[in-house]
Amino acid sequence: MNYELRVLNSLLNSGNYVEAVNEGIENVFIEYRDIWNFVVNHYDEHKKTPSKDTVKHHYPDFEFINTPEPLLYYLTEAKKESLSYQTRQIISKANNMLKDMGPKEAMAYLMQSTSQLYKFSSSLKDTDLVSEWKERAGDLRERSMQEARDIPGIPSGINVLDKSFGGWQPGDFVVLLGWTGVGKSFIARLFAANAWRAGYRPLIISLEMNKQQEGQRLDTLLNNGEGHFTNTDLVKASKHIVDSYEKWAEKTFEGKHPIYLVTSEGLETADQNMVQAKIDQYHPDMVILDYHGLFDDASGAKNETEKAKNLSKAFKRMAVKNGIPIIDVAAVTMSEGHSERPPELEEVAWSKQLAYDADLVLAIHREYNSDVFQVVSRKVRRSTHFGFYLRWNLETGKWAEEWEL
Amino acid sequence: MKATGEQTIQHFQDCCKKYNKLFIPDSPRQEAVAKAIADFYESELLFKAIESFIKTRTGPFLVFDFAVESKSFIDRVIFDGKSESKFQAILEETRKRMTDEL
Repeated sequence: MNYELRVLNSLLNSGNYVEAVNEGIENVFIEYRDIWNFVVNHYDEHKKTPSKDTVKHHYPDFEFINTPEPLLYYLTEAKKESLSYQTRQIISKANNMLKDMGPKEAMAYLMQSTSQLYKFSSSLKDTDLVSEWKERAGDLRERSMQEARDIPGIPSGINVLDKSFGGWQPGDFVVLLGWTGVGKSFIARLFAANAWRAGYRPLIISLEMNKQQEGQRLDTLLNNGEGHFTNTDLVKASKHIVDSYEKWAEKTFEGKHPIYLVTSEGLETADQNMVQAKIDQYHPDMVILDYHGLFDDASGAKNETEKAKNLSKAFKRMAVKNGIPIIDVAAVTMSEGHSERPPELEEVAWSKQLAYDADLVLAIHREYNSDVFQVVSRKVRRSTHFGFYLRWNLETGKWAEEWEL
Repeated sequence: MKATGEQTIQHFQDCCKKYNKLFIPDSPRQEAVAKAIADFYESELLFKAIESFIKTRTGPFLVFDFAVESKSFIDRVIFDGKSESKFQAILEETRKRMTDEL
C-alpha cells in the first residue's frame, strides 16, 4: 500500500514515534506490518526511532521516498485509506458469504466486522484535559443556565434516585441486581416509562418476554393506578375494559414520541453487535437490556462467567461510545434458595467485573407476593449510597417511594 | 443466650411443620446432637439457621443433618444480619439527607 510506505517514510524522516503512536498509527499497517513491528521493537529497546540506515540494513528492499509534508498529514491520509481498504474487504467478503452461505451469515459477519472497524475508526478520541479547560468551562456555564432542569440526566422518576445520582447521564452503565423473580424487569420498565413520560425515547431490548407481554406491562405501568384497567384485564382480555383501554391508549400514545422495543422473536443471535446495531438504527436516549444472562457474547467466551464479564465490558464501552445511559438487568442465583434481602455485590459470581464497569449498581429485593420493593445502591460512582422502598401494586401499576414501612 | 437441646429439637419440628416437610425422629442420637449445637451457638442465630436450612432444603430432615452443616448456615445468618443492618443504615441516612434538602 502506498499510503503505508508514505507514512513509514514520514515517520523515519521525522523520528516522531510518540506522535505517531498517539495518533493510532499501528492500526494502518497491513503490507508493511513487519517493518512497523521492527520500528516498535527498536524504540522499546533503544528509546528512539530507528535511522534509515538501520532499516535499510534489516530490510534492503524497503523503498525510501521523500515526504515533504508533516507526519500528521500522512497519518490522516493513511488512516482514511486503510479504513476504505478494510471496508471494501468486508463488503467483498460479505458479498461472497451472501452467495455461498446465505443472508443471515453474511449479516452476522457484516455486523461483527463493521463494529470492530468502527471501534478502530473512532478510537482516536483522546483529548488533552489541560488544553481543553475552556470547553469544560463553557459546558458548565451552559448547563448552569438550564434552570428548568433539576437534574443533569434523564429522570428515573424516583425522587431519591434522581437527587442522589442525578438521573441517567450519557455514558452511564447501570446494573439492576436481584435474586430471580423479585421484579427487576418491572423496575427497569418503570425507568423506561418514566423517561418516556419526561420526553425521552427509551429502547428496551427484552430477551425474556414477547411483544404482547411487554406491551401489557408497559400499559399497566403508564396507567399508574388511574383505574382504567388492571394488568389481569389486559392479560385475560376482559371485555368490559376494551373501550376504556382504547380511549386511554389514544390519549396516552397518539402523536407521542416512540418507545422502541426489540424482543427475541425472530432474532437468531442477541449479542453486543446486535445491541449496537439497534442503537445505530433507532438512536434512543437510553437503553434497557433485559437480561444480561440471555445475551450471547460475540467475542467467543468459553464459559458463563467469561461471557458475563465480556458483556459487562462491552455494554459499558457501548454506553460511553454512544453517549447514552445503558441499564442492564442482571439476575443473581444461589445454589440453595436465597436470602430475603437485596443481594450484596460479593454474592454474584462475576460481581468484580460489574463493580469495575458499572457507574451504579442497584440491588433490588421483594419478598414473595409482597408489594414492597427494597432498593439499595451497592456501588455508586458519583454520590453517596442511598436506599429506599417502593410500594408498588403491580396489578394496577400504582407506585410510591417510601422511607418507612 | 443459649437454648436447650429440647428447645432446639422442638424448633426443628415446628419449622418442618411450618414448611410442610418431613421430620424424622432420631432418638437417642438427636438429643445429644441438639444439646451440642445448642451449647455451641447463640439461640437466635441457631434458630434462624435451622429455619433457613429447612426452608431451602427438600427434606426429609434429621437434626444430625443440620448439625453437620450448621457452620455454613450460621455464617449465612450472620451475613444476612449484617447486610440487613447496612440496608437499614443506608435507608436512614438517605431519609435524613432527603429531609435536610427539603
